[in-house]
Amino acid sequence: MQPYVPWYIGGPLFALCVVALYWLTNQRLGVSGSYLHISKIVMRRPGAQAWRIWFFAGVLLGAGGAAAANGVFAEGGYGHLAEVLPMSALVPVLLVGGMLIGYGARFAGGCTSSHGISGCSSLSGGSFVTTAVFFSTAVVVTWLLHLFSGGAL
Amino acid sequence: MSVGVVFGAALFLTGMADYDVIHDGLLFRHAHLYLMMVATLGVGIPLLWLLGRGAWRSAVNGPVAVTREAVQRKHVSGGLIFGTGWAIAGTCPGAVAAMAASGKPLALITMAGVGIGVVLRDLQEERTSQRQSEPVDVPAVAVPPV
Repeated sequence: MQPYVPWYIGGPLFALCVVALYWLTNQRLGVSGSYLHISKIVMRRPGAQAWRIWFFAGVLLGAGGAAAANGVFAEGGYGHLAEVLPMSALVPVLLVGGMLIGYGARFAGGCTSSHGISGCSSLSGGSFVTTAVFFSTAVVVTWLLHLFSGGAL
Repeated sequence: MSVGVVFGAALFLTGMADYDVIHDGLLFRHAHLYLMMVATLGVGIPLLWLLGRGAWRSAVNGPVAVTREAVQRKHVSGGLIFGTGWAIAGTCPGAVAAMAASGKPLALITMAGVGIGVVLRDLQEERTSQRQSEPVDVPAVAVPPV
């Protein structure tokens, strides 16, 4: 693992983002909602919330800026997965994986940020259940992939 | 937007936007992913509890109302689908955006998938709610005069 910011700094930073968004705008922090609201603008559907699009733009800017400031912009690819799978398999795998993430997030009413970070911080029962289910499912599926790929993944 | 900037930078700097960090965490090769969750909730729970109890007013949107949801079947079904995708792609909607923004073009494919998945489910929910709100056609029954 690369030398990333340690958990005892990174964790509180995420928590402060959740609190700051409530304090400033009285909104629950979540990223999957941004995809929905961007799609509403693209597909000319009603009900798009501007703050979600600005928040998403901020995420892109922050991550891009942090990568550039650390001199690692465009460094690396899709990690170990891109080394194991040929491009012809990697593209459909990422697309299907992404579709499951998006469909599941919309189904559950949130993703890792809105349920896992924000919802659990607010002691929401639904968020605790969603987080427990997606974490345990991800562990089981990752181990199955690891075993069926003969340890390659 | 400023909160988004900090959140995006944190996603990148903590390794949450790195496929290998997530994948290895799910294989229990390190505890970073779990310690991140514990540290986030360890700070977030008391702060949101205080925010929810006090009569705080947000800067632009009235009094702060911390939202909570009761457990529903959708949380289990959605969590199962989301967790499967998370394991396959090794990322989540926010992390993949941070990954793409840090110059990894393959993340754009996952992002496109996330967008398609979100829209598919939303259209499905919209259709279901429309069907439920439509008036049910009850065949007219002739009532005999009393």
